Amino acid sequence: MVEGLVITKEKSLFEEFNINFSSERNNFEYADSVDSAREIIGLEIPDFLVIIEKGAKKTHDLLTDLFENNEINKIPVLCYISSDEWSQRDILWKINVNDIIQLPISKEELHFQLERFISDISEITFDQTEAGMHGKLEDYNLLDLIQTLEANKKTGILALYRYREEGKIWFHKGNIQDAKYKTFKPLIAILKLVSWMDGDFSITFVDEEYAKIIEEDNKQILLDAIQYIDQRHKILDSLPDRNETLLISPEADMDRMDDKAFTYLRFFHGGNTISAYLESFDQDDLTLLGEIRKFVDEKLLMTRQEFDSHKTEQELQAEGAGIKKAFKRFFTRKDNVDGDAEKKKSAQKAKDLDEDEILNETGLKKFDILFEKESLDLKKFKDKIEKL
Amino acid sequence: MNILEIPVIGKHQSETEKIYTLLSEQPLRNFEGLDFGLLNLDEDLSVYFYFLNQENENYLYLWDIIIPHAVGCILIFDWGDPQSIERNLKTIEYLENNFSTPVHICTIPSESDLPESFIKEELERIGERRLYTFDPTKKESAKNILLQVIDI
Repeated sequence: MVEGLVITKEKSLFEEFNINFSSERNNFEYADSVDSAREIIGLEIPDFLVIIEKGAKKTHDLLTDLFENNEINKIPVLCYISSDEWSQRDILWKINVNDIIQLPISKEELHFQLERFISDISEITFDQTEAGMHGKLEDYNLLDLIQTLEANKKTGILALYRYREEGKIWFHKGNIQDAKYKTFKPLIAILKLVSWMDGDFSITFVDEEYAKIIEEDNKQILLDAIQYIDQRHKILDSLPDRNETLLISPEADMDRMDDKAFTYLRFFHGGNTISAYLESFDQDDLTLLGEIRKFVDEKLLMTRQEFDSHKTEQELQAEGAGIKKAFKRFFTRKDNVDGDAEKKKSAQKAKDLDEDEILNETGLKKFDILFEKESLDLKKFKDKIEKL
Repeated sequence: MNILEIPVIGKHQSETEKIYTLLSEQPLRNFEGLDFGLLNLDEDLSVYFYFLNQENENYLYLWDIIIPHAVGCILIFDWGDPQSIERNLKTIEYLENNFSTPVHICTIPSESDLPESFIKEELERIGERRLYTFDPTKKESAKNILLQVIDI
């Protein structure tokens, strides 16, 4: 998978670019400014940059602004400039961009140019590394890979890719030195990566000594990882499907919860999945799943189906009164409200049944069991809402 | 306990519930298929939001119960969903013909090429219609709409 970052002020240009050229092999991110580009690069370094900024000088300024950071300087750059500015392109060659393409350009030609560029940069990347290998995590999972690198006393970087995410583990003579995945601590990063059962990996052998950041030795890490996977499976099996939307129970009293539990449970406000939850917090999955387990056991979290059929304690108590009574009474004749004639009939029937129904002067139906707005002091409400 | 009731009508549950989830930490509640939410302002004041779905005609009789007693009725109008526009116009007509409760039309802006000005004109045709823009990402936007609804 080749990741490109497209920088352009016009989002429509990016969208067109993305629709036409993204594929199983290419994927594009979007940045509308230098700042947002920096932010994206900070999270994950793309394989190449595409700048669509018509003017040569503007493109130059944008790149020099970005190039302050040396790491960015290593990324191959492809620029698009308009034909009016074509004569000015020298300033771009001087700052070592990899290719410049003149606009306007036909879709087919652009496609061809882009393919060529991507294959060129793949060669550059290949040349820079000494040697390596790559494959699918379905065939070799992280545990296999760690053991292989250890057995062969290899030094290099193991990179894992899944959807649009990337994790890296650094080895020295077969020993795990450091790991990086999102903002997780190295050991937690490895535990998170261990659970990836699909995706790609690549190993780059580089003769460079990396600092030992992770204290544990390989044996301990592998042991932790195996226990971790085992535990994780056990908990996940006892929970609703990780991609099913869960909702907070109507009975959950958020006000009485401690801050930690509140933060975790709050994530499901309005509905969310366990998968999304696991990706959103900086703790290891076991801690996070432990919290979820508690919520599910205490019935604070439930599936949409459970939620819809759930009757709260309060509702059971209130069944005989107020609005609940009104709902119940009307739900009992919900089968009769198909079509206008049926509706009239049911309204008539309801009228006969409901002694407490009254008609106001406008002839609109009114039910005395509902809360009357006339008796409410709206000013009080307004004051409180303003303070929300 | 003083309870203020506000029905929120829309095509998609997620859109109608958004105005509530922005304002209240309390989870959504459900009573036999009707979703509603509770915003506790203090021990004595609460706002009930009822989420009414236009698609399910079996529940239309609930409208007859809830709407006449509500301080105002919020209709979520999404420009980004062309199919919902005609439905929304019909709903507005239904509400205006059947109830005296003020209708507050909250439009979610979109970047699409819909003839927004045309529909806006249509919506403003009757002087009493109240039209706002609702930004589903901002709590302040939901709060302002709520304040407008009770400002009668």
